[in-house]
Amino acid sequence: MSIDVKELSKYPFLESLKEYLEISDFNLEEILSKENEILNASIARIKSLNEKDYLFDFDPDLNIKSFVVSLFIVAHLGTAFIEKFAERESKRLSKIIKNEIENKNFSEVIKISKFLISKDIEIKQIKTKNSVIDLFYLKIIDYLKYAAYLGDYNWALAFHEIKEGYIFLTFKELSRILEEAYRQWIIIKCNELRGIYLPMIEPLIEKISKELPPVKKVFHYEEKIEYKGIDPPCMRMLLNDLKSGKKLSHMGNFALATYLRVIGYSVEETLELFKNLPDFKENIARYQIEHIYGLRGGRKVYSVPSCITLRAANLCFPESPGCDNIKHPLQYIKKIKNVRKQNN
Amino acid sequence: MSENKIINLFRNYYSNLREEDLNVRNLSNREFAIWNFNSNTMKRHLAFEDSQELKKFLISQSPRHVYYSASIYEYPSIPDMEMKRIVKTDLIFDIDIDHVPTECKKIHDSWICRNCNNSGKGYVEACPVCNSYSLEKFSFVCNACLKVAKEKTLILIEDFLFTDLGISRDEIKVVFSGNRGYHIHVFNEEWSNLNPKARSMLIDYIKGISAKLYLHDYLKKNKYKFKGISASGFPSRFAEKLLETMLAIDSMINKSDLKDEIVQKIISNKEKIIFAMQGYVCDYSFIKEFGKKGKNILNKVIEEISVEIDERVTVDLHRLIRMPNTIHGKTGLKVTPMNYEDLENFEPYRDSLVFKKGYAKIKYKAKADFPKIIMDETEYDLQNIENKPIPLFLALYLALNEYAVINEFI
Repeated sequence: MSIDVKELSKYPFLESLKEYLEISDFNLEEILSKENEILNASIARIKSLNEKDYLFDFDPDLNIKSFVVSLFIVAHLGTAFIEKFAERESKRLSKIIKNEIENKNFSEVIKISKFLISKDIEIKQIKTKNSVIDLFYLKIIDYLKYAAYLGDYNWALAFHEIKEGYIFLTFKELSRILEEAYRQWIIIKCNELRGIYLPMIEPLIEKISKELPPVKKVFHYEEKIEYKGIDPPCMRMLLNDLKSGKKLSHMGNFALATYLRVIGYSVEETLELFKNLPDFKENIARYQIEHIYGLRGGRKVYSVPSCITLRAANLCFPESPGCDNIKHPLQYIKKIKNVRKQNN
Repeated sequence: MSENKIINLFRNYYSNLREEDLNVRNLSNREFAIWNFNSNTMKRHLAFEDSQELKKFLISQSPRHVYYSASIYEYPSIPDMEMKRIVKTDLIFDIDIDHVPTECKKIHDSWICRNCNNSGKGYVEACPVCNSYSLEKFSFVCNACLKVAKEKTLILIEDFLFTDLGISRDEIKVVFSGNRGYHIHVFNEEWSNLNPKARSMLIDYIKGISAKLYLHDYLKKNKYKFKGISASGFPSRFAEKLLETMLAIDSMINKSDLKDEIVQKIISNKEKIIFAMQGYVCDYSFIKEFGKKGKNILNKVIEEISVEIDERVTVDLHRLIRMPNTIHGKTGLKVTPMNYEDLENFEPYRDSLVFKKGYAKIKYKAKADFPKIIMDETEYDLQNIENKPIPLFLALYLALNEYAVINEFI
């Protein structure tokens, strides 16, 4: 089977990659050991992660090989780099897919979707009164795996046509799902590669780390928030309910305690607030709060639940514009703070 | 005395139970939990090799409540939840009539506000006078309540599970919870691997949460164009129900909080609306006529086609659920599993009765508006049964629910 190198250069994750590397005598250990064109291209690409233009326009052969080497190096540079690499790569893919769609190259889009999302994906034509619409048709289970990580309400199942286990998506929607699927693919691959140790990787990582500017972190919800009295509406409601002595749901109690920890409340201060609950029992509440704070049991510090989880628990009361396009309540604080800064 | 007698009745039930009735899928990889009579805590992290071992345990303990895990674990008996290692988790939906304001609740449910001492009938979340949530509530589950629960269960199964999600009949098991509703267990490899985030999206869909929050805005942003009756899934059911509401709008004159002139306008445009709502993509611009009330009208329609379920049961991978074929310790009724085909004709107060032999006399703990109840196809006026011989199942139902005490077993 002949390999379409141009295609592989655009989509260097396809199944034909393995065969291509074998044919072209690709030797990762050798490439990582001394300065060469592929290693230089890979490092240049990693250095461009934080730049406006992400480097991916070498000749096809170099593109493919340097992608593999970049993936391996990034995997060993740690989570922040992995996430950034996944973000830049998935945006790159999204642009190409958009192009393919504009050029009506649907078979290519289907091929990539079958690889990244699921083999069970087709194009269906829907006849309306005046026209025929082309829609992608994929399993709801596969859709949920990726759509669950996209915050906007447009991804809720209610806004889509679904039938017997399948969901219909427009080209634009499918390309966003593909972007997320590829982002997850990179993260999974990097985590697999992290476990592969090559002796030459350590000095290389040490050398590159010195030359690299620190990657701007993709927003981490677990970061300590600089709290200045701005509460996301969901938490504000819970706080109001608590202060007025209303009994909260199990999820409400949990979400609020995780939130109070992040904004800097001590166990004692959180406990004091929960004393307003009608069914308050100090020993039980203390145990639960300490558990959430990571002071008991498995010592796991519980993070604030995401918007999607809160919405499912009927605890989401979105407020425009702060809640538009956010996936996590703590993003609201950051967003409103930025808006206020701009206004000043 | 009464409690020991009840424990014996439970023991008898478990002694006579067939082992295959306890044979749940992947039994040896599930966590079991029980709640004994005379105990304030739940015994968790139990595991059994097979149904024979489980049956022996149930006979020896005769517990008040029996639960098992929705998840299948590698090590079900390890107390640390993370170390149990989840293999997969059944997709389970829980329909509970408790929080649904059914019409009959106005007859048999009541509340007293601890804050302002006002009282009233029906279902309320907070005191309508002082807004306090500190309420003493009295609730009852009557035949009508369970009928609503069954109707909602059928909507969940037929509209959502079969039509939308493509789950087949032989992949589901319906279980009467033994008290206020139904559990629907889905046994499908692919669905059981769904992570909590994806499960939340399913809940959002079934409960109509995003639809209620955003559909109005969505229509506005999209020039009131949205999929309609010829589409499938939620959009199709929504269009159908909305059309039904608009066709019945004549009856809203003087009866709703809508201004008559708005209703008249809709009536005179009826033909146009019907035409606009046919087809794959529809024109919903008539919603604009309702002004600020538009969102309320949409939300009422969405509520009718949605199903209120307890999201925690579906999303929480470590959730315990009542074990089918055991006795619900608050009612004495059997947690009754059935095939979907049998749900239509299932009558909880006839088909889940366990203690059909024997009689007893009861005394109520406090006066309340007990409704009439039909059990085993006989109507009982609960206001008029104190100190009279009544069937054991009814006496146990009232006693285990803490409404009454049993004075005498006959």
